[in-house]
Order: sequence, then C-alpha cells, then structure tokens
Amino acid sequence: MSDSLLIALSALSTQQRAMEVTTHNIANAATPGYTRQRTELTAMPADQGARPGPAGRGVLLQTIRRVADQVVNDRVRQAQAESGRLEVLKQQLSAVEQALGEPGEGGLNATLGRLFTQFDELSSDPGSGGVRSAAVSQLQGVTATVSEVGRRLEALNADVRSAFATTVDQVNELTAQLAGLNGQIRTQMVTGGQPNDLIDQRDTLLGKLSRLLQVDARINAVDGTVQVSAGGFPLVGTDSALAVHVSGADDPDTPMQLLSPNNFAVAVNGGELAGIDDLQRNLIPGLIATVDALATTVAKQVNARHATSTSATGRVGEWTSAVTFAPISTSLNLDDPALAKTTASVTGIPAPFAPAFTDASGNSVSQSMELNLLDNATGIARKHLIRYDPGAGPTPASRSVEDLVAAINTGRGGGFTAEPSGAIFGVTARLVSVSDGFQLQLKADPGLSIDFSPALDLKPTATAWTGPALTVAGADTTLPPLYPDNRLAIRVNGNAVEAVVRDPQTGAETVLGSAAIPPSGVSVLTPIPGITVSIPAGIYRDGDRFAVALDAAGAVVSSGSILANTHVEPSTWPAGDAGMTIKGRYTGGHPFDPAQPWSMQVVTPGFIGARPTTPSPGNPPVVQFTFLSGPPGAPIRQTVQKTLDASLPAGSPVEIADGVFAVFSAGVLSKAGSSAEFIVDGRGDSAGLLPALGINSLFTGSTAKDFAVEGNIAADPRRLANGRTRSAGDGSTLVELAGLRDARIGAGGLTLGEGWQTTATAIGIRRQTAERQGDIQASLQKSVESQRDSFSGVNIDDEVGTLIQQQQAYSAAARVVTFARENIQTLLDLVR
Amino acid sequence: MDRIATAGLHRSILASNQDNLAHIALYQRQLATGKKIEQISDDPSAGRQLLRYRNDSAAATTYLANVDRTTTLLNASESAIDQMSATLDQVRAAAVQGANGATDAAGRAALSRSVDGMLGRLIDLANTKHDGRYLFAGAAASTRPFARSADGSHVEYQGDLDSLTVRIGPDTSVTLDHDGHALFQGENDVFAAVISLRDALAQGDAAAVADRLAAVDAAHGRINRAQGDLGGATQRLQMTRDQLEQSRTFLDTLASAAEDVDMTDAISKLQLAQIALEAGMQSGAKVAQRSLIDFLQ
Repeated sequence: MSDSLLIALSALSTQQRAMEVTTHNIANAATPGYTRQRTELTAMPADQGARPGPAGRGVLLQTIRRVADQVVNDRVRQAQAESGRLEVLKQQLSAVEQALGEPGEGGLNATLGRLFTQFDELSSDPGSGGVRSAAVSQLQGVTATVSEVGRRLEALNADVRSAFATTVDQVNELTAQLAGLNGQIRTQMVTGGQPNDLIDQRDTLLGKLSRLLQVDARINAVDGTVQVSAGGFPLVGTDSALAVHVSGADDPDTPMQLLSPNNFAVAVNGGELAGIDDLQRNLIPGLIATVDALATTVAKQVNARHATSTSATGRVGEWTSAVTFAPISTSLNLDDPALAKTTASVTGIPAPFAPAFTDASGNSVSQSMELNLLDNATGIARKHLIRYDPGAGPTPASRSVEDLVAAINTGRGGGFTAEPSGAIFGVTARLVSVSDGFQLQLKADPGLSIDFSPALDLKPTATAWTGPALTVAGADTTLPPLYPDNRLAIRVNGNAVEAVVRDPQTGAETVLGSAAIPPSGVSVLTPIPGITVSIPAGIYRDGDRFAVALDAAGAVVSSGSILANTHVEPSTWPAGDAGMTIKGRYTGGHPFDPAQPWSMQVVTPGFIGARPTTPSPGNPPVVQFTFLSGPPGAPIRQTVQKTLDASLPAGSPVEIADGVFAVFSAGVLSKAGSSAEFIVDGRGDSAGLLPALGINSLFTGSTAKDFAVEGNIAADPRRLANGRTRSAGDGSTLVELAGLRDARIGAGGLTLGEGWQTTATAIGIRRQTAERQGDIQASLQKSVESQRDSFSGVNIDDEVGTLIQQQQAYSAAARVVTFARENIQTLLDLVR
Repeated sequence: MDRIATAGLHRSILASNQDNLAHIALYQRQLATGKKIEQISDDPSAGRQLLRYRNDSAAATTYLANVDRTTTLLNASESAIDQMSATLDQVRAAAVQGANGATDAAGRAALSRSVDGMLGRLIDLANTKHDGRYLFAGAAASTRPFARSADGSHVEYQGDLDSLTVRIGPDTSVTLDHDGHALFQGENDVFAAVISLRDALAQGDAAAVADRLAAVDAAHGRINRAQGDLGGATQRLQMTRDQLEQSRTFLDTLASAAEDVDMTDAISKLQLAQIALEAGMQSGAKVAQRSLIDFLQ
C-alpha cells in the first residue's frame, strides 16, 4: 500500500521536474542558440525477487536530453563561416565602389576625360595667359580628384587591415572563452551532471567563432569538451586556448598574415577573416596598384613630352630635380633600381620613371638629350647635346648623377659627353644638399635660360663662317737655308700656333717658335729669320697642321693654310653679312645621328635681297646643305643645293629636309667655301632622363595619392610648356598631350580610358557577384538554420501540449496520492 | 512535415518583409533619381557601356569646342582677306589710271601717295588681331607679323612659319596655315607688287606702271585663292561639326538608354513590391499572434 504512495510520489516529483524542463523550454523560446531539452522518463523496475508480478516502483527521470543534431550544427557553422566571408566582401566592395565614385563626375573616367579636354582647349589658344591660368587650375582639380581616389583607397586598405587585427583579437577572445567553458563542462560531465545550457553557450560561441574564422571543431563525447583548430593549428584544447597573431601589421605595403602560436602561416579558408584577407591581400592592393599605375602612366607620358617642350612666356634659368638622391646613390647608375625610394625624404627615382639606357633586350645603347642655352635678350639659343655612349668594353660606361654633372661642367663624365665637345658654357650643374640627400641643380648664367627642346634653334649652333687664313711667307735668310727639305711644319697647339721641324730619321719634332693666337688683329711668328707666319685672330682647330716647302734658296714655294673660324658666336657676325637662321623640327622618317652635324656651304657668293642702290643684284648666291640620313649603320650622304634668287628672297624659308628650314636675312654671302654647321635631332631626351629626374615636369608624384601639378607650374602657369619652338602660339606639345586620350599607352594595349573602364567594370562585377553569392548563401543559411530549428528549436504549441500532458499526469498522480491516503485512512480506521 | 520552431517562424516573417522593403527602397531610389545605374555593380555590362559613351561624348564635346573656335578664327581671317581683296581692287584702279597717258606727272605722284596709303591699309589688314592674337603671324600669335623695312623698300615678315594644328577627332586634326609669309609673300609677293607700283608711279614712268599691273593682278589672284581656301576650310569644318554633333547626340542617347530608368517599368515593379510587403505583413501579423495558449481555457 505504501508502494502505491511511493509510486505516486515518484510520479509527482518526476512530472514536477518534467514541467520545469518544459517551462524552461518555453522561457527560452526566443533565446538565440537555445536547444530545446527533453525529459526522458523511464519506468522504475520492480525489485528483483521481492515479490512476484510485473508491478514496478514508479517513474524515473532518467535524463534531460538536449535535442541537438551535431551534423546539422556543423552544417550551420559552415554556413555561418561562408556568410561571414561574403558579408564582409559585400560590405567592403560597396565601400570600394563608393570610393571609386563611378560612373559619376568624381570618378576617374570623367576625370581622365577632363584632363585631356584641358590640353585640347589650351592647344587652340596656347598664348593666352587667361586660358593658361584656367587650364592649370583645372588640371589641379583633375590631380586633386585622382589623389582623392588614391587616398580613399588607402583609407579603405587601412580600415580593412585594422579589421583584420580586430577580428584576430575577437578570435582569441572567443577561443579563451571556449577553453573556459570546456573546463566547466568537463567538471560537470565527469561528476554525472547535465551541463545542457553550458553546452548551448559553447555552441553559440563556436558559431560566433566560425563566423569570424572557419574552424574545425571536434567534440569529445565522454567529457563534452571541444577541440578547435584552424588550418591544422590547434586553437582550443581541453582546457586551454592558444592565441593566434598577425604579421605585417606595421608595413602598409605588406599584406597581413595570420600566424599560429608558434609563428607558422595559417591559411584562412572561411569566415569574415577570409573575406578581409582576400580584400587586404589581393583586391584593395591590386586596385591601389592599378590606380597608381594610371597616375604614373599619365605623369610619365605627359612629363616626357612636357620636359622637352618650352614655354615662350615662362623662361627658366635654374632647374632643380624633383627627386632627391641619397648620398649613396653617387656611385649608382641613374637607371639602377637601388635608386628607387629608400626613405620618406629621399625619393630617388621611382621605378615607373626609371630612364632607359638599355634597349629591349637589356643591352646598353647610345642615348642623348638636348640642352639649350637661350639668351633672353636676343632670343638666340645655343644648342648642346649630352650624349650617353655605352663604351666598347664588356661593362657599359657609368651614368651616375655625378657623371651627368661632370659632363655638363667639364664636357665628359662616365659615359656622358657634351657636344660640341667641352664644358657647356653658361650653365653650372651641381648637387645641392637638402635634408637627407641632394638634388641636381642646373643654373644658367644671368641673362640666359635653359630648356631641353629638340626644336631647331634660331641660329646655327657652331657657325664656321671661315675667316682669314694663317699664312707663311718670305725666304729663309740664313745661309745656307736651314730646312730646304720639307721638314718645316706649322701646327695649332691649343691656343698657340707653333712652327716645328721634324727629324726624318726618328720622326721627333722640335718646336722652333710659338705664338699665341691673338684676341684681335694679326700676330706674326718668325721661326726662322726671314720667314713670317701671320696669324689672324680667330678660333683654330687644335691639331690642324700643314707642311711648308722651301726651295734651295730658302724661299717659300708652297704652304697650306689653316682657316680661322672667326664667327663662332652668331651674335658677332659682322654687319652686312647675311645671317642664316635654322628653323623647324625634323618631321621626316629618317633617323639622324645627333652627333653628326649638318652643314651649309656657300658655293657661289652673292647678295641676298634687294639692294636699293643696285637695281640688278648680279649673280644670286648658291648654297649647298649636306647631311647624313638613313640608318645609323649605313648613313647616306645627302646634298641639297639652293639658288637664293628672286623666288627665294630674304626671309623666305628654304627647305632642306622634311620640316627643316634655313632662312637667310638680307645681306651678303661673301666667300665661297664659307660654311656653317648645325645639329638636327628630333628625338630630344631619348632616355627619358628629364622625367626621371623630375626636371620640367608637369605632374609630380609616384602614386595616385600624391599625384599633383608640379609646384612651380601651379604657382606660375606661364611655365606650362606649349610647344617646342619657343613660340607663344605653338601648341604642338599640347596637341600631343591631348592626343594621349586616344593613345594606346595603357596596360594591354588599351587607351588609359579603356583600361580604367575595364577595372571599374571588374570591380562592379566583383561586387555584383558577391551580392548574388551572398543572397544565395543567405537562403542556404536560412534553410540549414530552419533545419536546425525544426529539430532543436522550441515550438510553443508543442511545449504547451507537452505541459498539458505533464499537468494531467501530475494531477492524476496527485489523485493517486489522495486515494492512497484514503486507503491508508480506511485501514487505520479499521484498526481503531 | 517538419516541426516549426516559434522563433524561427518569426525570423522568417521578418526576413521576407525585409526583402520586400529592400525592393521597395531600390525602386523608390530609381524613381527618385531617374537612374537605374548608380554604381557599376547595379549592372556591370550597362555600366561599362555607360562609362565608354560618357567618355566618348566628353571627347566629342571638346572636339566641337575646337571646331567652333577654329571656325571663328577662320571667319575673322576670311573677313580680313576680303578687305585686302577690296583694297587691291583700288590699287588696280590706281594702276590703270597711272598707266593712262592722260595722267600727268603730278597726277602720278598723287596716285603714288594714295597707293602708299593703300599699302599701309594692306599691312594693317595683314596685322589683323582677333581675340588678342595676330591672325597671320604663324604660331607667333603675339608678334606683329608685318612691318615696313627701315628704308621702306620692302615689307618684312616677323612672324614664324609654324602652322596651328587643332584636333577635331581622335585621329583627325586640321592644320591652319596661318603664316603670313606663305599667304602674302614669297612668289607673287602682294606687298612687293604694291611697292613696285608705288615706286613706278613716283618715278612717273607710265610704261613701268603698265608693267607693274601684271604683278598687281598676280597678287590679287593670290589673295583670291587664299579666300577660296579659307572658304573651303570653313565648309569642311562645318561638315565635321555636323558629324560631331550627330555622334554626340547618338552617344548621349545610348548613355541615356543605359542608365535611365524606364519609369513605367519601375512604377509597376514598385507597386508589386508594395503589394507583396503588405500581404506579407498582414499574414505575418495574423500567424504570429496565434498560439495554443490563446485557445486554452
């Protein structure tokens, strides 16, 4: 009888517990991560052997089970990892697209268009100061937009990198918490406890961790602990966590890398961190590199053309390189990669602007650049070439900054030589010390300005209108004559003229007498009594010589002559002589060796232009131009003869070759055989040395972020170069710059605009793909979550139903207790 | 049939309402801005076309501006040359009169002076400035191109020989041979012809004056040729202008087709999304309210 009471009591307490569990389920119906729990009841068997019969001893709450399916939970975690990755990609790609600002007016597509439009507009009126100022400020707007895009991308990169670090911190925090839970769960499990809610907490943490980083989780069925590892490296053990960390956080140019506790690189395969890793490793640095390349391509292409052009209104007497060299670079060739950026203040030559002293296969080749010294008062320029020759040996000649300085100042340095030979008069090159390094400075003498245009200059560079000849006359008055056997010779030695006698046996020469070449007038040298050498003023070529033949009586019978070159400086041409001006720019297809001067020779002397006093000018003068054209290895000698008659009056252009003209002023071409030389070279700076050094550049900056209009031009728009002829209205350079709009100078043979459109579209597609994948992933996640919910989630109706059932069982058991109590009472009443 | 978790049901109702709301926001934004591409990712292939059309259209606008500026320049040159031609008519009349035997020495001297005046006018016209630049100085737009020589025997050209090149298309440019030397000097020098006529008149030599008439006619012919060339160039520019205008309009139409919203389409989509949202909210509200507890007494 008391058994019934005990059975009923077991039912009461068991149903009580069961109702608590159901209520707990209802209470947590909306708790995220909660797994519904089920009471598992079992009938308490009868004591063996006590009494026959099947009656047991009531009900027993065997266990409170979490209704969880580990396989589904794992699937949910994987889905969370992939969602995390895509979510980050979606968010950040949206930020990237916003940073690019396409297809709006602030995007690079529209900005590039505006850049070229400025050149186009300016080219149609290059002389106007107003248009020029407006164009420069528009260009500044263009560079500001480009650098803004560059800055936004850098900021995004910084954001993503800091997100990487923060996420790794969160991962470490979660693994530490997981290790703590492991300990608690194990303690309860080994003592027979049921830490269902702790396990829920653990699964929630695992879910959070998986969203950040895809991990492997293995649950130990015995003690309930979880072992977590990522990329094969353990993160959480039975009761301790190992922290991961990050390398490359300090250098924004290096991607960050997740490292295991013992410093091995951990592959990040999923989770938000995978998205962040993809962005910071590939996508954003790649995009930054593309935008940087766009800016540097524009800068390089524009600067190369700008550097060899001039502005008629903005003459410059002193150029300073924009790049700064570290002192160590003095021994490096200018195209040595070691010159590139070393510290913040020492820029060196950035890699994209490195000059090319080698051909496509890496062999050193001859290069040259032009340097003109313009007399500001007369507008007459002297043209000089600075050549680079690799030399004959197996090691190419050096081409350091100091070599260049030496070539300008002394005529030669390393592989550089100045043409015409010797120091370039009127300009001083030096290395100016600035903080941490030095800059190259080219400074012209007062009254001169420097430019680098390959245009033909207003006057011949080395005019050799030949002057009076050095002559020998008289008779040897010594008896017998000293040198009747052709042993006497006259030669130019530096600034002196010497008479020498040659030993027929040994060939040794003895100087008999020497006289300096006079600054003006004629000086006379008497090497032997009776023989006079008259030396008129002028410039003689060093080493020129001739033999003097004396007859038996000692009289001069024959002697050569050395012509003095009396008109080296065009400005000193005597009044009345016809002047020659060379104009234009060679436009033909033949390559010219810039070291090989062209020449003009007077074939027939005569008058150019009308002479008011003489109605008939007599024979018109005939001149002949000579130059070499054709391939450098096999030049062809070309001659062009022109008669300067009425059809070619003074001031009219005489075409010599495509684009090259000579213009004669009225006057006289007096001597047959007079000649002039000039250099024709349309290439300008063939190695790209000027843009590399940052001399006469329009744009500065080696990244998009610091892309800007060069400071001097920004301050003084007159310095914006317009053409190559020093004429204010010459917009030929601007036309070339505008033509870059359609030039295939971008990567893959595209125009810059097309290249950028491809990049911008690729980013758009990337984002669209991420959005679509994100949508698919979201519905996938929903479906696995609902799968988990349908198994592990709380349905209130379900629980209420269970509760009703349990309540009824409880009521019934309570009634049984009442019955049992009444039975016992009845029994007790019997006893009374 | 799966079990349904109560919290899961609520979540899914909220999520589908969110989706509907996002659609509404999208169509609303499209209708408000009139653009269906705000970012390339909205439609990458149309976005790419849009970038190209806009770029090409901007280039066409620049080329149009260049054509317009060049046309203005040509018109100004044409008008100066027209006046030079009229002045040469007067010079010719003077020459005819001077060659006439009836004209006496004093008359020829007076004619010589008046021809000198016409020479001055011709030089002034050849020095015409437009918008601050000398039209016939080649590229040396700020240099006065023509001046009498010190002794008055000839007219010197001080401009340069460079021509002005203007880009009017990706691969097309026009070159304006605006160098005064090529236009007025060299063979059949306009000024030399007038000067020699003036000098012949001053010397009172009727036969010489008659001789010079041929030179004046040759100079006149030259000016007329220049007139014709300029007219032809203007006409060609006008044709280019029409083409550019057409292609720009076409590009703008294409760009608009790529980026502009089809209003009817967007409005009907918006209405559909609104209906979906309302239906979802109503049914959700009904479903979410009910639970077994409501029916327990």
